[in-house]
Amino acid sequence: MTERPDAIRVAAVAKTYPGKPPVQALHALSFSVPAGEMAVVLGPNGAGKTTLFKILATLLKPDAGEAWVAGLRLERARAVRAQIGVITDPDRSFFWRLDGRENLRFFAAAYDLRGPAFDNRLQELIEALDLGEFIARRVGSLSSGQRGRLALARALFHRPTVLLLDEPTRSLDPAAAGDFMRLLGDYLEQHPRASVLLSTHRLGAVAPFVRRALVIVHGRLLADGPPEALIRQAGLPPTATRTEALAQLYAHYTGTETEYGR
Amino acid sequence: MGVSNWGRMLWEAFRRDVKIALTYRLAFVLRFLSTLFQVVVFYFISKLVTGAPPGLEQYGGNYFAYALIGLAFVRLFNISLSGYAGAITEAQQMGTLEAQALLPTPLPVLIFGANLWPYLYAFGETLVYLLLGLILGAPLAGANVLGALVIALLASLAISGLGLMGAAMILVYKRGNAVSWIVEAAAGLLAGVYFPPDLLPGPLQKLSYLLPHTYALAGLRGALLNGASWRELAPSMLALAGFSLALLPIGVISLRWALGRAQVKGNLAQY
Repeated sequence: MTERPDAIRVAAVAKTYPGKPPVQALHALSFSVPAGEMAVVLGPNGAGKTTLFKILATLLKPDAGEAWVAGLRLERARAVRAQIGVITDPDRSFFWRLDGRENLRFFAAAYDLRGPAFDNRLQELIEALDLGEFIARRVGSLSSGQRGRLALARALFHRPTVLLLDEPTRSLDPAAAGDFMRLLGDYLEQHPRASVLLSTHRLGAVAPFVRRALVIVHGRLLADGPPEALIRQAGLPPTATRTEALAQLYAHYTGTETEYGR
Repeated sequence: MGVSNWGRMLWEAFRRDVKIALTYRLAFVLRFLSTLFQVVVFYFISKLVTGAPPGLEQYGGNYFAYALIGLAFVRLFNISLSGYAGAITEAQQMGTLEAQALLPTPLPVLIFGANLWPYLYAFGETLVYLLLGLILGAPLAGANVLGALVIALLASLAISGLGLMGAAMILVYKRGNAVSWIVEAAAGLLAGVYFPPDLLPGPLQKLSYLLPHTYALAGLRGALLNGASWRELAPSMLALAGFSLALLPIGVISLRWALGRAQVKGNLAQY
């Protein structure tokens, strides 16, 4: 079996937000995500997940350590940005007075996608993500679920090799969250070299798609690996489903229960 | 996605902002009406100014014509002064700043792009001011229009240096753009927007020489009201070119520093 190159590699990355007092958000975090894999980052609010995503998306500079995304050092920020698709805040990251198509046109232009290339890609995504019913409507008039799908379309538009999705299902109901993950799964099936790092509290929605879980608590990586293997390593009782495995891991490392129980 | 794409993104930002502005049709009408009212108000105020007050001799003592040029161009200058910071604040409030920072296009290019529509709009307003002034009798017939355009361009560049410093300030302090506030207030008082700087006490007159607005308005009045030749406009143009060379690099460096600081503090999108 040939080894796959890493889509994401993080080596001893640390981040402290300056202030009085300073807040240490990440403590020398190290992990990697191979190309073609989907990994979920689990952790309570304030664990450092968003800090990690912002560093990988080049929005935030780490204080120490190194990281590579799509084989590129983060210092090459513009080259990294060309390779990533990001969702940070699906509800508040669009021009609300413009329709979905106009929004996608603006963001796609930054990747040189225009004219027929833009039209063709838009048509593909309209069909794949079922955007047809609302793509011509102002974003301000869309539901959270529709804006979530539009955010996914924007993240996928330039066919990125790495997707960084920070709580993309945050404002979606369970059914919409499931739809979102199915659409993401379809994209990965069609693009087997693409990799995804996502964070979510909707364990049931992501469980069928993730092969790997990273548990971060207080800025420290406490577990990293396939959920079932992590369950064994932690000495937890075997679970019947991956959703239960993720819930067990979450509860074990954070000391809190999820909606799926302990 | 290199430098060649920047022009494309400037166009896309301009196009986006035109489309957004077109969704606020009432605002268009109201701003036009406010321009109309302002010109008419100053037209009647000018009736109170008779004779040849100090500083107005070179404009035939015509206060309406004098004030018209100040009013017509100060909005254009304010886009250079406050537009960049305004574009950042608006994107922060809408939540789109971080989404744009994730693009391969450098954020300063997108911030500049977000100021293109306001520039064009303010330039259109300037033309409306001048047209209304012409209708109400301002002596603009023999104007050196090209000379005025060059001075307006140089002034926009020079004041943009201050505007970029203000944008950096907004990124650092989030609210309270002291650069814009101080320069705008100082320009209103000292630079000859509403009255000639010659009326000011000596020390304040000297302070007015520190503002690019002073040279811009003197040059614009010369070009538009007196039809001044290129040779006569040269001192204003040279002064504005000097301001541009000094202020623009400081502005660009300030903005880059502030963006880097926001990447360290993680507060780019906060306002």
